[in-house]
Amino acid sequence: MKTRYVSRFTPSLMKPEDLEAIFVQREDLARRILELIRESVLTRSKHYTLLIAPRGIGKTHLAAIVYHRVRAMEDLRDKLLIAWLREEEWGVMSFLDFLLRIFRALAEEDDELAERVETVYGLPSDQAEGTAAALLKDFVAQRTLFVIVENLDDLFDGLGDEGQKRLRAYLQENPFCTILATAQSLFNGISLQTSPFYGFFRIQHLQELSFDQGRELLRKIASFRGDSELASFMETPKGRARVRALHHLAGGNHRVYVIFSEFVTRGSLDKLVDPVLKTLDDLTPYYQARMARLSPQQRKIVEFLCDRRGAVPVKELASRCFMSQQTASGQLRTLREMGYVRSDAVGRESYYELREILMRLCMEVKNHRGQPVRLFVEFLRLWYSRAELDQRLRLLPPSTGVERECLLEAMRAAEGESQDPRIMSSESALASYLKDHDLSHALQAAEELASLRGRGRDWAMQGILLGLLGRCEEALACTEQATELDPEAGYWWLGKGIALGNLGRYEEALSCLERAAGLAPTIDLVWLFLGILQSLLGRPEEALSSYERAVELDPRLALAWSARGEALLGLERYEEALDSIKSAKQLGLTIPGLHFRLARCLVALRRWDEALAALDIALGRFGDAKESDLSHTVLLVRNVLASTVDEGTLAARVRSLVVLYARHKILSALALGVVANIPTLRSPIIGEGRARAWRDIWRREAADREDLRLAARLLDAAVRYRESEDPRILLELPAEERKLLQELLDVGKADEDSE
Amino acid sequence: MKANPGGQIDPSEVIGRDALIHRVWSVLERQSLVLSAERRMGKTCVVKKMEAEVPEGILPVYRDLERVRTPLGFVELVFQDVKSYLSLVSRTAKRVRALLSQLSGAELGDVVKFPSIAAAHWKTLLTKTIEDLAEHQERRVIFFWDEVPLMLHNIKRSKSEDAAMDVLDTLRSLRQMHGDLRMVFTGSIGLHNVISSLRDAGYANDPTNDMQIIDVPPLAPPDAEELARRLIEGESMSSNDLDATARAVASGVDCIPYYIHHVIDKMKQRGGSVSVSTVDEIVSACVTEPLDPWHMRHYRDRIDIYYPPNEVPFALGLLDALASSLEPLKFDDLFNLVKSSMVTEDREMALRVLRLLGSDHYVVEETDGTYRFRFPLIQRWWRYERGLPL
Repeated sequence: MKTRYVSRFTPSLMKPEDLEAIFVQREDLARRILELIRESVLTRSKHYTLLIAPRGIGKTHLAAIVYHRVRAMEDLRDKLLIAWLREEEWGVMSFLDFLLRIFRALAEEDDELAERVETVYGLPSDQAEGTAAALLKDFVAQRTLFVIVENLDDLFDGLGDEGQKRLRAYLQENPFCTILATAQSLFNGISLQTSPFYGFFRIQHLQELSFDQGRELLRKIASFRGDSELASFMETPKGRARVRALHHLAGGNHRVYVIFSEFVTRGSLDKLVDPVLKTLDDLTPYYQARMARLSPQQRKIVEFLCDRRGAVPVKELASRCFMSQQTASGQLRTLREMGYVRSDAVGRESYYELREILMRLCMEVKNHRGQPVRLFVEFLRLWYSRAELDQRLRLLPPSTGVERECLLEAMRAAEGESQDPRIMSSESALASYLKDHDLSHALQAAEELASLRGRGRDWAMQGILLGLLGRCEEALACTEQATELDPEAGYWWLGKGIALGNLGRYEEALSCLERAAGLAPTIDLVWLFLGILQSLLGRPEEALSSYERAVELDPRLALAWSARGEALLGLERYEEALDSIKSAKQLGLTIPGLHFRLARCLVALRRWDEALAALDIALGRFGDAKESDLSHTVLLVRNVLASTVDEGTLAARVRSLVVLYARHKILSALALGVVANIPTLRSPIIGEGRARAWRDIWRREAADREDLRLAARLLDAAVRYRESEDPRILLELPAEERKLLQELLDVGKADEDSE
Repeated sequence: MKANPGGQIDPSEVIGRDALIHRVWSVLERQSLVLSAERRMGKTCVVKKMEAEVPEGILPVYRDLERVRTPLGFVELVFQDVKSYLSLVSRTAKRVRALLSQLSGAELGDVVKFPSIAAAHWKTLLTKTIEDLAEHQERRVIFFWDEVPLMLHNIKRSKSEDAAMDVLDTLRSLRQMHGDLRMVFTGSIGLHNVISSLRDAGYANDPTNDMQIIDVPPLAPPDAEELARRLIEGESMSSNDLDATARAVASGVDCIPYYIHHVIDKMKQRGGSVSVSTVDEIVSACVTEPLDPWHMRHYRDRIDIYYPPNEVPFALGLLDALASSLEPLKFDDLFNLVKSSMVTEDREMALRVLRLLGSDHYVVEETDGTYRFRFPLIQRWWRYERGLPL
């Protein structure tokens, strides 16, 4: 494995290519900022952007990306100066200090400037500002100065009201600056109507990482470090569940993701405990510094939330902290803006909790030094599933006191907990993905649930999703697991039945569905799929009866109405079929087959014009000649052949079909429909004269349509063979066509050999 | 051309202000003026465009006075600008130099920082500075002074109300003394607010009665639509109906250019194709978002800041009543509604506050004597913020 450095606290120290390698979530924003800088350089417009986000959300990373990309723009090089002020410009107490910091940043690449700035230091302070301001204007000249200021809130604190006013006036009078600034939250210097920079910046609130973006970050870190173990672990359900735990701990904070990326793959406790404790210890000063930024009242609130662990309503918090509800609400609102807490509304009440659980854990390291049981118990509970905890406990030698104690506590906590936060997170993700019809991500969430909780329903859901994604063997394995865990749940048998059906194992599937129907006779879908299988196994009457049951249980189940229509079509009960299909259509069903069925039904009912209109819709919306649609064309051609005995009418109908399919550019599908119906011509219902007429019609149509010629040739050979049964007719065909026709006519190869 | 809420707009991209600028130049041929407008209407953009596209024979000098805290600080800036101008025409500010030499025995260097002893003589220094200018004025120098009310507010706070009054009176006196001298005052708070507070301290003059007041209104609807259209195109956003979308942006924010830039910026952040419904969603979200991205809360906050405590309930009562009404209201009806929310029979006070609200661009009086919110957008926000029914 390569050992490549990912800075936890100072991304500005990283190389540009390394920063790019692990950049996630904000590519669009970075591009947008670059566009604005470009416009600021090339025109007299000047943009001022302020990025707002709590610590650790990636502000510096984004600023560094922008800095390096702007530097790399060759065409702007001689038109642009860049001053990237240091992240912590503690010493800025006046506008003059600010100017001097800009000079310091610029002088890093210009020795001559450094000498010119020296003259400023020799002046009395009241003259130095004017001289520095004039020097900067002179030095920038016709160029644009791009200033990157981090922690603008701190800088403005140092500048004070007067310094801010001087800066504002300077920017107004000398419009050569474009600014990219960052701050942890909105602050008075920009949000008070009376402040000089009120409404001055284009404010962009940066969002925390979502779960998927967090995974993307870890994937990129794995690739950057060449850590193939992490990369492959991330793709497993266990890996994803671990990332959910991390997400829960990190609260979407980029920095915490980076720090914990090293631990994600740690399997054994002994390799995890010490590094994690050490990391929590390392992080403590970081969180202490964050606490130090707060007012005493805010600290009191944060400390209280650390102790309470869960979410607390404002009223309770106010009473526990001895402050009025109004004060508590105001401080909580500020803390939320600063990224310390999050809130959830329950009815009319707001509940607040710490946004980053790690902050609480780190505070506990400080408060319970030497006895890190409680925090580590919580960490373990999140990091490992119950099964894993149990397994590790069994493998642990009896002598390992603290670890055993931690594990036992974690087990107890896991058992006593009504809901595991990771499971809640996975369930919510699953519901959201299903709502968006994002099956592959839904499958990932389902896999995590199966891994974390492993109930029958989790395996069944995974199986259903795998089936929908066409991964039939895996789907079957999952649904088998579900029925083994919970053999009395009808739904899981339904899942298994569908999986078997998808694999073409219809008899076994039928038996599963019959079992499902016995266990859960009120589930409409069970009857629908049972009907489909009965239909596939050539039991149309039983299928119809199952569909009847399905629509009885749920009259809004459009798929069941459509399937019922198909069954009735097969039983030549066309009027009822038409009603059923129309019901499905009224319920909003838009599957391709429905329109084909409608067309077939109308053909059978001799309502030719309506049939053509329905077919036109079917071909227009779905006529991409998919295999599934082809069967409809085959049946349609058969319906047309049976629709009339009058040769002229038949010819006219075929002509309409040909024109329609040609218009939709899927004539080849129609040709296949004709070929697939060749066996029909052997039926005694169709006399020789009718067969010849059918052939002649298609020969005429094929005369000027290349796509139909093969079908016409095979049809001709089939009709002639039917009349004479002379094998030489077949031999006239090229070998591949002959083979196809032999299969269609069910003429054995032996006949050919005997010749 | 990209959306640029709050930033500096390229003067060549300032749209729809040509007629106003023409009028301002024409007024400046005769007298000085106060450029008055609600925040974010684009006063500074107008001034910057004038500065960038100046007619022959005029030298505009722009200064942002927000930082100035003392009369002497103000005079220093004026002197710097006069000195720069005089050096352009190879002249020097003889009178000021002589006076300073008398006061401190010091010679002036390149950078002007008057000695502290000069503070007591700021009026004389300012007068002599303008005299030096008047003597050598080959081109007409026009002082564009931005944030004049804030400067006066600062002087009032750091020195005294008398000092602020003195500055106003001295400037007026200089304008009267030098017929060619031109000043343009602008500011993000109304000059009347500051003068009104000075009156409370005994100030009886009307220091700008020789200046014409010109209002910077929102853009005319066709110009606002044109701005929106150009920004949508400049941001390379696709729209199924560009004209309708641009129209929706303009009307959704009452043709106020700052908000037009904001809406387009939000659209860009959202990504994808834009339409009338996108505009509606963004405007509604921005008006109701707790983080107040359009900084509209200042319409409420500044009532407490600039109105005396006894006038605040009247201001709130009047605005609440107007916000809840779909139609403009006659004063009697309005006053009746105010009386339903507070105990008062002080009709005169209500009228006075209503006029102040007019000067502060909250309220406008129609030709038939009825009153309404000047901007429907702010009326909508006010209703939301104050939890009022329609």
